[in-house]
Amino acid sequence: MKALPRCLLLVAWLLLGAGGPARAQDQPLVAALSQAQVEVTTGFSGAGLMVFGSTDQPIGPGGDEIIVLARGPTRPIVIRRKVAVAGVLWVNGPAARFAAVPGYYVITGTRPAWQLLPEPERQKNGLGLDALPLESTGARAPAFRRALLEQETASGLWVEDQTPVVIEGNRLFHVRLPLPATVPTGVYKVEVLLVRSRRIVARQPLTFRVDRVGTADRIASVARDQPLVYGVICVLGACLAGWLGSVLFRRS
Amino acid sequence: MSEQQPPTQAKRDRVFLVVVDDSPEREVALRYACLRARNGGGRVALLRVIELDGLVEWVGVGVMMAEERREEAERLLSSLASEVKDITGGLPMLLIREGEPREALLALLEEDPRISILVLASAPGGGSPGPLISALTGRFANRVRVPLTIVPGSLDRAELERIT
Amino acid sequence: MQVYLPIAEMSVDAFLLIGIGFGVGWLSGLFGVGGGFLLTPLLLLIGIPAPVAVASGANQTIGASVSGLIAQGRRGNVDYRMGLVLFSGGLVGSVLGVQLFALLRRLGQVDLAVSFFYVVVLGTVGGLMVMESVRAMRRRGRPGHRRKLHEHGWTHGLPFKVRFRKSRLYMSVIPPMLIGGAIGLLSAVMGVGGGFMLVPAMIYLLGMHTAVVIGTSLFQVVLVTAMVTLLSAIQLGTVDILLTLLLLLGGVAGAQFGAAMGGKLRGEETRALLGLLVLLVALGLLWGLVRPPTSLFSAQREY
Repeated sequence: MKALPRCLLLVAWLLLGAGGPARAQDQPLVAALSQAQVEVTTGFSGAGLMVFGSTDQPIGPGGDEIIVLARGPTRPIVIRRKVAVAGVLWVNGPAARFAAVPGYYVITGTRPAWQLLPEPERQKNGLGLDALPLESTGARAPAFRRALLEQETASGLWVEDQTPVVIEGNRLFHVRLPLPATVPTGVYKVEVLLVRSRRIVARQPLTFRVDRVGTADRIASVARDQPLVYGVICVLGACLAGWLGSVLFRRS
Repeated sequence: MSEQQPPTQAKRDRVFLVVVDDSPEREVALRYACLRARNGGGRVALLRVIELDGLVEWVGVGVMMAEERREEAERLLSSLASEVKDITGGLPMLLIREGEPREALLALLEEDPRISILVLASAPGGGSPGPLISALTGRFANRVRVPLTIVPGSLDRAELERIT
Repeated sequence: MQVYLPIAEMSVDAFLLIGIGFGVGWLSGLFGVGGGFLLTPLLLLIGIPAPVAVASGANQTIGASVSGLIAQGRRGNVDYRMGLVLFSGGLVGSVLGVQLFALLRRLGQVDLAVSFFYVVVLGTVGGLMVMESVRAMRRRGRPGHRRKLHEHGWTHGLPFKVRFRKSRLYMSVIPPMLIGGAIGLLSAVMGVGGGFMLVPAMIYLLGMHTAVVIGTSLFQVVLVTAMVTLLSAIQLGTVDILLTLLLLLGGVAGAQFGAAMGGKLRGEETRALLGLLVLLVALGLLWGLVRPPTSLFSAQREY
């Protein structure tokens, strides 16, 4: 609850400070987010977040280029491969455990990153799904990493170069980050990179939060922090619902 | 049919129906009906309604439950029948129905023209007189085809003797 | 209307859940007890993760059984002493079941194990139901078979004998505890109450008086599913109360319709159909196990 005004202040400070006359010269890139907080309610079915900003030199073909990278909080994921037991029964077999998989990864730019940067530079900065560092334990085959990539891409949480950054005039840019219904909660890091002559010359880090609010949030936090209380509530709630039902529908 | 001095044919043919449930006042209703039959002529009919718990997943279990309920009902009615015989000298009609007690009773009244009087006893104490009486004197009163006698459940034997 | 299920961590159409609850409740109203065996497979089918489907299934079974229990208790058809003995076994069974579930989840075999249990249990139960109903249909019209009194032989020598007045039994507490334990284990792994197996076990194995069988089985089912819900909430964190309540919303309404229809249907045919339905669910889950998967890989959030 407290985070929202503070983040708004931060955004305002950035815009004011960067847009002020004294700073205009030494700040080649200014960017901000349309929201500092996204709220996942019980009825949440997805949202979008706008990244926008401006540069001190013209953007577009021949000029500066913009890359936007957003990452969500990481979580451990296990990828399992099915094997056929006795030729018929499909059972989970070997597994690879990826300790820190970003729950959200979106990269986009005025052009795809691989066109803008030399390969070593791109790999070093982790720009692109194939440059994502994913440490794993367990099964080693590259197919597991590929399966993870497929899985996350299919869920809409990992998106590479789907909608390019839009240039307005030749100084302003904006792009919409898609947030599907399944976004994990936590702190998201957005990096806006300014590329000039195949080199990253400026970067601006931004953050936003995805929070659960309302009933869904309260249910999840009680379930996590006080599982015994939550369990008792579940039992009593079900009893009450059953009893109420029998009272309401009693045939007289 | 060997009643003591049957006054008229009509009186001898009348039937007092008693619903055999598991309430304590059942005893009073039964006794009242027997005494009326003995003193004024007529027969007693005993109705036991078996309540089944809907369908059960297993046919065998369901059949076994129904059989056990029926056997219990038969056992109960035959023991009550000997009580009736002791008082009235005649054997009562024994009726066993399945279903919800109120519905089964109303259906029996509609089907069986022999029944002439329904005898119910009210529950003693301050509360409701009992679900059957409440239903038959209230919402379902117009479906009762025969006169309904309500015996106060608090009457003792001497009082019953006196009023019959 | 999409709702976000906080524990399952996914958005589902609320009306779909209410509809599933209604259908399952309708069946359980029609057949007295049971119906939960359909719920977990249906939840799996719409994409609810297996651990959440099982735990929330157990939770919804409490609500679905409690009104029946109240009704039976009012009519004096519950043998509380027998119920508590069954539950003392069920307690151990459900604790073991939840441990087994936690182990399976670490091994990544929850989906397999849940499906496998369902295939075996439902395959057996469904097959027996169909056979029994067909036999009953053939015999219809002829005099009914007499109840074979249960054999005292196997329980006679056991110690800790107790008198169960309402069940009309004087027997050792060990057999009911074993039966309660087995049902508790199944309840934890499958998310069902287990009434459809408990009722015949009470009659054929224990020889209980049939009038108290339904009420006592509901008593045991409510206690065991409450235990499974509590343990799942504490140890696995897989009970989704929103999912449960939406299912119950449809379920209590469905159960009333089912119960109203139950009286009008012919017993043997309906139960043969129920048996076929049970078999169909088992076959569907078996197909899920033997069908070559569309994707060899599956991802799972690690807990």
